[in-house]
Amino acid sequence: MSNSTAVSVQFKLDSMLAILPANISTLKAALYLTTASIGATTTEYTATGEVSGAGYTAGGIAVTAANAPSISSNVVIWTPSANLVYSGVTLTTAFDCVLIYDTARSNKAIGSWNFGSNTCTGTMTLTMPVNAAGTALIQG
Amino acid sequence: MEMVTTELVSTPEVPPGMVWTTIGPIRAGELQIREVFSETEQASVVAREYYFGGVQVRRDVHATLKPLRFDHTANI
Repeated sequence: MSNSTAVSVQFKLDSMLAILPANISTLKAALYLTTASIGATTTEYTATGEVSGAGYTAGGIAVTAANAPSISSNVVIWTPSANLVYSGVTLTTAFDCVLIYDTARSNKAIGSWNFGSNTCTGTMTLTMPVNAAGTALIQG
Repeated sequence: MEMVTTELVSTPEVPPGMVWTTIGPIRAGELQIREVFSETEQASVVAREYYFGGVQVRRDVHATLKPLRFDHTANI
């Protein structure tokens, strides 16, 4: 065993806990067209490039997140506790991305995931992975 | 995945060559279901497409998201 340079896992946990406390109820998930530019430089929710269509409300849907970030195998992990389900939507223009953001902090972005170009006339389900090291949605 | 309105259900009352849907009995073969699989760096996706008489009437998408790390430069 030797010393090493590192950002402490405790610091990562505390940082995430400050943003994503247990049972946070202000997160939302918005879908974006393939022509949008959501990604690393996205700082907040934007209506530009967001999908539109029957059954979809601008801003997206609420994210259920009962669990606070935690440490698993020396990795900070966090995953919403329920799948994101857009029921009864008609989204005929290709979309490929979801942005999770926090309405309580000026719609600041949490993260975005590209799931490939799709259209949907029915139910769009984004399934959350198991909240554990190696699989959790966000890991640090 | 939730049950969809066109989900096929076997019932003893349906005549031979017909299948039962929630919209009533239709001829077997008129309703076709196709699953399209795809994979990206951030998700595994299954799209279930329903065709009635050759026309797509419904498309459900089921994407399982993959982990994103703090040091991931692609998305965060």
